[in-house]
Amino acid sequence: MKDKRERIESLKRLSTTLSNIGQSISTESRFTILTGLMDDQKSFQQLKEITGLKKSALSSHLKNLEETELLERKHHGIYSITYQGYQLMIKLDELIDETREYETNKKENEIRRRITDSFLHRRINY
Amino acid sequence: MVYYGNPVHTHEGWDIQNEIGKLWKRFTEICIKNAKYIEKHATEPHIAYEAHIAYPDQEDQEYHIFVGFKTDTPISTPIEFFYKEMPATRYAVFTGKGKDMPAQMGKIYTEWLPNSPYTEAYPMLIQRYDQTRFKELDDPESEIDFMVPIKERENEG
Repeated sequence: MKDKRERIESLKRLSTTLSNIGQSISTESRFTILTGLMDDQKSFQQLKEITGLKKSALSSHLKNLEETELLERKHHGIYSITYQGYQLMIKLDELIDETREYETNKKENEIRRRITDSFLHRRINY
Repeated sequence: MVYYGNPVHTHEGWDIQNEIGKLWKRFTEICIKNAKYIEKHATEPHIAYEAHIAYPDQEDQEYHIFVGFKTDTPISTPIEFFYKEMPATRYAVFTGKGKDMPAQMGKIYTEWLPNSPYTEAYPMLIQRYDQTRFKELDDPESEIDFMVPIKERENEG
């Protein structure tokens, strides 16, 4: 497990790669393509139906995703998400879950802290 | 199940899970594993309790917190559980709801109790969580009953 300093240095070295990946998934259409491929490979026609895109627009998005190695063309007109692409999507989902859990814990912690403080700092005249 | 210490001590970094939350998590996991057993022994299986027990001259932030359910039968299993007999006393019960719950609870001690003919019978506060009215702490519809053990105040004159 990398410590914080190693993590920062590693991210600095990967800044170009990560920027490209970020740019690649920054449009809803490309994101829809990747989620559509997570359960199984799909044909161009199937992806066209999933995204509702025109042929030229879909081709452009597929090319972009191939360049960032999030997607690969298996053979004639069949597309598949890469291991890197699949892991990226899983990690993004986990990140959202963890962030939500963090926010919930933060709110609950504050409520518990206030209740606890009221009890601990009560002044009782026996 | 019990915790002793400062339940909201400061964590480093972004770990903000407090000790009461962790205690409830462990309690819930054990309850799920032993659902049939608890169904059999709990007098109100849909209600759980959180008891805070402090001391009148306490200066630090460390005290006991118990979580559990009500039973008429002393039980000692699952091994993490133990039976605690609560003192027979009268309780003033207040229901807190939604995001103002902590403020509502605070007023019990700052407004209601000092102006009542009662004082605290034991240095204890019990929170009652009824599953039919409580969902999550930050749910605006959630309710918690705050049970304050009371006794009549002795004549002050």
